[in-house]
Amino acid sequence: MVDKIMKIAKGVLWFIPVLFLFWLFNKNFVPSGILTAKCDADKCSKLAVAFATKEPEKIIGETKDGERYRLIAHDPIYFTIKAPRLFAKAKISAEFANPDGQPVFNFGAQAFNGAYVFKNALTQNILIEQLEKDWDVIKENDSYLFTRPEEEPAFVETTAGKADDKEELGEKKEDIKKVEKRPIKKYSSIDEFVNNLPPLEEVRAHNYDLSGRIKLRDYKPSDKRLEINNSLRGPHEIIAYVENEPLDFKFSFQDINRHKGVDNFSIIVSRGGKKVLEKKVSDDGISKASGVVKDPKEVEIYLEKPAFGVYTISIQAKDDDIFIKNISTGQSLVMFSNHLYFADDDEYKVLAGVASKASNILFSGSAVSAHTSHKSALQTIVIDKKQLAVKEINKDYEFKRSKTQSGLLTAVVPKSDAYLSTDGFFVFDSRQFFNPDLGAVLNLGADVPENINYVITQYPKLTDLGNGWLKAEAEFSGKELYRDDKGQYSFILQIPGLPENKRILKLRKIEVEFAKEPITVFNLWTKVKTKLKL
Amino acid sequence: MTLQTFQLIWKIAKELIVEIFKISLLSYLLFYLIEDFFPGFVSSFFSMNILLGIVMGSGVFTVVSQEPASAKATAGEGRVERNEIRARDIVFIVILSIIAGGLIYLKTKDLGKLGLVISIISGIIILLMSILLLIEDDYDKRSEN
Repeated sequence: MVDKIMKIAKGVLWFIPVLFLFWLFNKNFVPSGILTAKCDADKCSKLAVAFATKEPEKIIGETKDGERYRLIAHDPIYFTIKAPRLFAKAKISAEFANPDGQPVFNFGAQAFNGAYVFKNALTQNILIEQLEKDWDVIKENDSYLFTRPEEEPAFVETTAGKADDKEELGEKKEDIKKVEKRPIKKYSSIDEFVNNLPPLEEVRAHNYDLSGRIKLRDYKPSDKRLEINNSLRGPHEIIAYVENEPLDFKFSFQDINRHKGVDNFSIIVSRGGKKVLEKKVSDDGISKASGVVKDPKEVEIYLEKPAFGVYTISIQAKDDDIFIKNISTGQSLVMFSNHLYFADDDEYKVLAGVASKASNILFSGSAVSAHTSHKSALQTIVIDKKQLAVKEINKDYEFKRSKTQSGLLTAVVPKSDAYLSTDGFFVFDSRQFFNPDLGAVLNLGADVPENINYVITQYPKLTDLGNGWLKAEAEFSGKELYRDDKGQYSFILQIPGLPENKRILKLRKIEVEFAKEPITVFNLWTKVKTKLKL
Repeated sequence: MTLQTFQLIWKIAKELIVEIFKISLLSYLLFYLIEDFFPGFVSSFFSMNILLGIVMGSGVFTVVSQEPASAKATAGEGRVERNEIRARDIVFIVILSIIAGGLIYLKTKDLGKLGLVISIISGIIILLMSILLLIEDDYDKRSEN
């Protein structure tokens, strides 16, 4: 009997390290997909590497209810966590009491470049809170759209003098006209609003970015292709507007091989400063400065359903060996930014189809300058009926528009093989021109002017936990998170103005919940294969 | 509680603590090895010092509470059995030596061929030392008998 009990006891004891090993696997691989690390007033999870390191002393207080908290008097609060692996998102939350009315809280996650990506948890704005009471509100999560309520039409008396009797009063009433304001359009959702913005001068924004939502008014895509048959030389930058149509450009390139070196180049398409597409174009195989020319190469840039907006197509040739023989595009609004290098000249007749011809161009800048590298291209350019003589090679000649000259000006370039540059844009036809600055919505100021009918805002609020405790939260996606080479994620809670205004915060708990795809029987083998690169 | 009951409880406790020593020592070595190859695998969630404390405590108790073999014989606990080296012991030692050599190679592979030489020699040394310990143990027991 004793032997039996001993065997069972030994079996249990040997099972403990096996259980422990499973526990470690669970902690490291996080099969559930959720990993939590937190710090409260007294202690932190083992995963928390650093917490509130800016506080010179660890001061712990206790409320009458027995709630313990950490006293915070410095900004920011650092919270660094060592995670066993990468996660797809992280939700950070902090529970605290705000006795001194700190108005702003921001959560930040450290990015790969060392800077922090911030998410606003609270920015108190009395005007917004007043609008919430007085105006019509659409609330979706932390986003609010305030619409000015309809007012009673105002009455304006059009005749002078008072009525003496009832008859006269009746006649007078007909003269009194109603002055009705234009009705304010009501939206059913914030999504409907941002996709169908009213006139921008009627809108104000607070902590809300509308820049990617502003469209060109009355734009309709063209059903015809735009052909630009002027030969251009070297790197160029094209600005185009796209809405409800594919982004469609076809280029014909040819390498004149007058410079030594490989002429690989890239065509980069970007929107709002962010790269959308990159296409690499390889050299024609001739790297010597032989002047030998091969057949033109066709390159297509195509995006089926791009987001609407202004696109930049940058042809990043490293030198002037690359010629753009032809551009064919489905876009109707196409401009060239900064410069144009015309190359329709007998100087380049080695290229197929290139011969001397005049080039006409329009520009929007305040000035245009021109130069040429060849004596045969010395010429007089006519700009809005005024002459600009290019007398010497490799020298810039500038034309400045006068105060009376407005809009697009025409430049007639009788001999191509001229480099023109401007502080605006070039177009081959006035119908191709547009203002790439589509407009902006102004930020909300201290009050709301009469002409403003809409205010849109991202206005996160703190969750009230009762007894004076509040909760602030923010979520960061995998793209915003960065796990350093020590396996650590760094977060901060920014509380600007806290020490300067001698405010304090009572921090009860700070927690980060990481999430990733859980490991299941169905995806386990896929994950193992990916990890082992099978 | 009678003396016999107390002796029984003491015997059970001793055996269990000896078993805890073996388990904790093996676990500590295993987790130490895992931690060495995958830093943070264990230490991020558990302090190895706790396990080390258990090893030390149970180890000291094991050493202190173990009676010498001769005392066991005179106490009439039966003849001490001879531990003959069996073929499976040799195979076990060889496998462990190969594993040890492999682990050493993983740590020294950056040295190139020198790392390979070091791991082979280390494996051989471990094998020979283990066999020597077994033979010595067997020889000591034969001498006592």
